[in-house]
Amino acid sequence: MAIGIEVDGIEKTFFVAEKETGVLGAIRGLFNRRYRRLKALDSLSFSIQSGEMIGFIGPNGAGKSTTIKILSGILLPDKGKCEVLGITPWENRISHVSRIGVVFGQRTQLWWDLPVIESFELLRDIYRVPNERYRQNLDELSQMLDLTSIFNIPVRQLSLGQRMRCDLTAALLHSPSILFLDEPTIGLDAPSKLAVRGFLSRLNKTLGTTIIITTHDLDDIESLCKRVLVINSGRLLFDGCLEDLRKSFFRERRLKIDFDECNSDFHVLDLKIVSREGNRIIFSFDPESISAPVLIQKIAEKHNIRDIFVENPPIEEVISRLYHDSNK
Amino acid sequence: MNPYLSIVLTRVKMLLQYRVAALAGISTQLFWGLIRVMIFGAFYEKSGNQTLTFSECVIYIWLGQAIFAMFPWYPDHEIQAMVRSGNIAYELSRPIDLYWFWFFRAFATRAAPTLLRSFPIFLIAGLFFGLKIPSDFSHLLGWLIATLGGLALSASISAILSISVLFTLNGDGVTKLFPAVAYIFSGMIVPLPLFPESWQLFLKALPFSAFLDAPFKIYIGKVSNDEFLSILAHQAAWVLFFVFTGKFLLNRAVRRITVQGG
Repeated sequence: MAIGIEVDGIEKTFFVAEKETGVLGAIRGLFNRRYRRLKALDSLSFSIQSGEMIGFIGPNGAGKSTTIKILSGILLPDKGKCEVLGITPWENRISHVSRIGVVFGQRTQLWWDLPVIESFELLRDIYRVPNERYRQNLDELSQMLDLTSIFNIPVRQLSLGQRMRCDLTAALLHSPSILFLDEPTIGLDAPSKLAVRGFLSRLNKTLGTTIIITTHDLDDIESLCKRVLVINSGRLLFDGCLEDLRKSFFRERRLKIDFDECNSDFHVLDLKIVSREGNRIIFSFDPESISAPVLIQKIAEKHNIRDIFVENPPIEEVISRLYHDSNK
Repeated sequence: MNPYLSIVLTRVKMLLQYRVAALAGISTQLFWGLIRVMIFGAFYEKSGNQTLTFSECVIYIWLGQAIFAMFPWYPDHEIQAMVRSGNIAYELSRPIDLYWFWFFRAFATRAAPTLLRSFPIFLIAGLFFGLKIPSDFSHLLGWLIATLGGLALSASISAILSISVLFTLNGDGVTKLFPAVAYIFSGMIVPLPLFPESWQLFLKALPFSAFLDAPFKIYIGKVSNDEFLSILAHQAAWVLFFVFTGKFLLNRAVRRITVQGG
């Protein structure tokens, strides 16, 4: 498979003005302004194949958006190399951006006061999309995302879910080979999230569009991405599939048991109790040191069990432990 | 369709939606025009004839009111908002030249309301308030061409005002200062021919004479063919100057841009 994106040691530092509080501080700031260097990206390197679907995660301020903005030619890094489909984004901005699509979940690229369709037509002209292909793309997209009924509504009157589906359409009218999504499901209700996810995975499968998603919603990642890149403080913490992430950072499993009677004194093998709620107790155990069947057998010997669930800890916990460890 | 033409048309379509704003604009301009005609009437009665006759002065005032909306008063509000919110990111992800994108946006922003307002003002002022239509059709055509040139100049200045927002993040400073200067030196307050003789060369050289004063002279037929060409050359020179300055500033701004709000 061809290499889609190659990032090699990019760095980016922002200068943030530090202001002192109070009137005196404000006056002092008039004469002597202090700046703090904020390293948003610290020699970040990775590479992505064409046709991959990548989840890009990290805590707030980790440098996700900055990376997306560098990859989409909006920001210039201070240092490092970067090639997207063989082009350095900031050196050849115009030919670069004609091959990519971007959606920033918290912003819209549609014209606020105009019906949606007018924005689409303007984008058709800006991207110089031939009419036939435009029609075809619009038909497909509007069918997949169920848009036809809202074409003539001004953007300002759309709901957030409708707007997001329109923004996705807008980013795809010119059939880009790479799609960057910065928090595409932020603020969406459950059905809209499902619609967006279903759409993205179909897009990736049928057209082979490379998709790079940043999100805080780990369900997005779990349902969409085979591979995740985790960054914090501008550095790559992890690159691999979600299962490996779980294995290498959070090996424990959860055992959820409903007992017949409420046991206040409960001791089996010094199991760690994560939480208890009436007759339901949740334990955690390490599957490497004791297997689930053995464990269950041992508990069943002593107590009456009504129901059992074995599950992985939620991915949220894995990620927050990872963030926490990396901040140490 | 050509992307830039499409930008202009889309924007015009958007601005034409604001009918109430247009109506308010028309009545404001008619009101001010009338007041100014009366004020100058009083001046002329006391001081006798000037370099500009009273009926010419009335034409000057009405032409000024008709094209009022085309002055580069403000940076583009949308660009201002985009810079503040960080939506500027989308602007940079379009496969077209950002400067011309903003230039044509500004062009449409000036052209649409001017179009919408000037016809009714021409009609009403022409019928009732002494705006004479030139008997020679070529004068009208010449005025139209020079006004278009003024529009291009207006767009190039607007573009610079918008670009300045990238540096200041706010743009209110320029917005307050710039109109005052443009207002005086374009002849919107006092027609430029009524300024002292020694100022004339200076006033003519400034870009602001290209909006109202120069086209006015063509309108009343005071301009020879050579002078007409030199008016267009004067406009073109200023447009080029502002376009190059704007492009230069925008290039610098884009290199140091940071997108606000993550």
